[in-house]
Amino acid sequence: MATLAAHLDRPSAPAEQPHGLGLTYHRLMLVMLLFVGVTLVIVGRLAMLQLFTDRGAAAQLANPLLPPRGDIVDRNGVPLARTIQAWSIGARPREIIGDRRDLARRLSQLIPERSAAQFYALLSDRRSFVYLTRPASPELVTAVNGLGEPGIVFSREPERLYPQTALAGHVIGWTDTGGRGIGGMEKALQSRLMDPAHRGNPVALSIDSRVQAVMESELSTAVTSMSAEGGTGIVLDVRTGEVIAMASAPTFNPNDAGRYGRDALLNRATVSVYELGSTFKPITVAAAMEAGVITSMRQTWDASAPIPIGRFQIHDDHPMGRALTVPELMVHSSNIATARVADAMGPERMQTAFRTLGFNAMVPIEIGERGRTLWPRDWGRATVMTSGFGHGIAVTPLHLAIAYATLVNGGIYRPATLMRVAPGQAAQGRRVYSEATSYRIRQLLRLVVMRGTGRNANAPGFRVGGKTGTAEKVSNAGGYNRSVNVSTFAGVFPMDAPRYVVLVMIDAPRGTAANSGVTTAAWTAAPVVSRVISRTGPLLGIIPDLNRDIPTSELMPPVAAAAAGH
Amino acid sequence: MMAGGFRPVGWVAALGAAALGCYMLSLRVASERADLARLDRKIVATQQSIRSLQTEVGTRSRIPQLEDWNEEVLALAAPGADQFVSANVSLARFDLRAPQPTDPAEIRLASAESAAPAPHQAAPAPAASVQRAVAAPAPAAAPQAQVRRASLDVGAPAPAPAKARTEAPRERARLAPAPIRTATAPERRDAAPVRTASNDERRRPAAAPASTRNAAAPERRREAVLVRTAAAQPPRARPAAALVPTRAAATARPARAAGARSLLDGRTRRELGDRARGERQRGTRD
Repeated sequence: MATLAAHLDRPSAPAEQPHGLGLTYHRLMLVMLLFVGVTLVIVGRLAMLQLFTDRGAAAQLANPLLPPRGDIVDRNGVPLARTIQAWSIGARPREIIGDRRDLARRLSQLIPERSAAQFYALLSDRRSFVYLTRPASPELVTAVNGLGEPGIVFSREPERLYPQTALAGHVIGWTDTGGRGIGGMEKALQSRLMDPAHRGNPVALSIDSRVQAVMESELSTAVTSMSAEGGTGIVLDVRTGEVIAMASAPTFNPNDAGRYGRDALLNRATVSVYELGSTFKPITVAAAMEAGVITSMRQTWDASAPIPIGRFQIHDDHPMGRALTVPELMVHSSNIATARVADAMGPERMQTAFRTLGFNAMVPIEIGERGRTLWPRDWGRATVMTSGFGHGIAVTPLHLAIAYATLVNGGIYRPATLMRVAPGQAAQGRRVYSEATSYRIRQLLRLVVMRGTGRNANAPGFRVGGKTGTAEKVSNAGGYNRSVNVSTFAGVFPMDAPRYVVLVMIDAPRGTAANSGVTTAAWTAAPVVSRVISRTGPLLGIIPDLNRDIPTSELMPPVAAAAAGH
Repeated sequence: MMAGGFRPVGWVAALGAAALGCYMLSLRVASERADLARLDRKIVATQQSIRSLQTEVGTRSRIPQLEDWNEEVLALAAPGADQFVSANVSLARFDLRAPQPTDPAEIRLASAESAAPAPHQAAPAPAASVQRAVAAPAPAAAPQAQVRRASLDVGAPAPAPAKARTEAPRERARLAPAPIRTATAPERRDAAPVRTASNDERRRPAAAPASTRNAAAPERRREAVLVRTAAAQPPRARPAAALVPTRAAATARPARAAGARSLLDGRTRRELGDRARGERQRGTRD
């Protein structure tokens, strides 16, 4: 059939010439359409790529403005810790083409930290890459680049920089070369600082760098001039528990923390525990007022003779030899009268008084460097009496600062914090003392500065109140060393509306010209508090006013009578 | 047929043009995007350099460094409690500008009267002259005249003698020749005023003008203007100043002899004393 058809078709083949041409056209058309189609597909694909590729995500992944580790700033936004791109200089020993000895010699001229021999050893290393120095200054990079050795490579690496150098070193802490927080807030905030969602925003601490600087400079001046072992200074906001300044002397520079010894790295404000002496007396008095043991400011407590307790005696530095009222007890800082108050309180109530202030636990603050307090095991009569004036129980200076904030702020205990607290966001706190007790303590503390042992802490116009505390230090051999003191002044200002606790403790000051040879708190710590308050008061928004004060006249008669009889 | 034959070519051309158009568009968009990305990178680089520069500035001006500089060079100290002013009234104490003729009279009236305490404490001779002097203008002159004169006392002790000197021609014209004579006498030159000065230097300038005023009472207004111009000169520019108190004292002397007692009655004296006391309590400007 097919052959037949072929046969039949053959004669008509020439006649179909135009038909064959049409077929060719069609085929050509098909091929062309194919090309056009392919082009269209490619164009369409390109358009799709162009239109629907999400560039935003890619840009965000490698956002160059997002620091590898979040910044830390103070409460006013002053940078305390930043991560910068620092240069590092390395070498690929196998790719070095110049003379290694000559190169090592020239390197050691530029980088004196290492000798030529050490550089030679590095350059001859078998490893493929060695660091020559990091971080390196841009000048050094330029100079080393000028050596023209292709085996030396430069790279930029993130480096943690503390622009304020030693300022608030104990609070900020420091990081290792790998960028992990080692101490202070760097460690406490490690996850927050590395969190990609948050690290773009700096973390604001409660520290005010200006106040911190003043505190550090005054403290280090005092510690140096009195040849003391160390010291600490704290400024605490009584309303929020924010730590405005926390200094510890000697200090260290977190940019180069590895160079310092344990003594400098030690944060004496939160780690070291001390028997803080007479600064405990207001706590005892307040607790006794709350417990109803002290009912009146005219009630007297016998201080006529030392109290014998076992092997030793409780005695006064300035024996009055008679019964004292509570204002007199504070003004003359009488151990005997305070011991009698504590004795009347009894062990349970005294323990409760200290427990409610957290003296039996580590101090509540973010940083990890916190010391365990020395809480007496046996609350015998002697312990109760001595704890009333701050012996036999050892707490950190920050514990005491929190306790003073509680005493004067109306009686609300709030934990300390190193994070900035937004206005109105302060911790709820819990009530420890009544408003009336708090007010009375404020009057008493002001009286101590106006008429008592704390006169040197006064700063004109700032209405300073506070209490001195001179404790004898426990010697290595055991027992107290009378000549070595821990001198503390816990101050509060302004007393008519308390805002800040300023606490200064000087550890083992020696008698020098700076303190007229007297190592008690009145001559060591109190003047520092006075200077710090006069310098920082206006910065903290407290305008000195000579015409304002907390009324203390109702407490005056008992003290005036005492002064007359003295 | 021809049109039919070229139609596919037309199609192809149209398609090619469309494809080319699409491609051009895409190219254009791509280049715009590249520009944007370049700008973004530039912004990022700028922000990074801003950050690094801020870090550098912040590090160089770190607070411990500033404090070191302050200790070494600037020696600035924190303001004391008395340097803060709480109210406008206490701020007025610090008004130290030069007194103007248009100033209200009250304050200077008060300081003019500071001459009055002299009778109570100073030596009798100058005291009498002062009393006389202050009392004399009281009934005759307008209050502001007293006031202007007194403004000299406020400025500095030196202008007072100068004032006396400027008045000299007029005085000489009207006064008896006696004062002039005493002024030239060398012994007399440092008689009375020196004694007054040693008694109380604050009172001396007040005493001198007071005595001259006694002499030149009718022309008080013009004289006051002259006085101010004299006071405006620096004290050292007047070499003859030393002579003046002498003459002032000399003129005062006859005045005292004449009628101090009669002109200063008890009531005036009491008033003067009250004012002076009030002024002392408020705290004088000099």
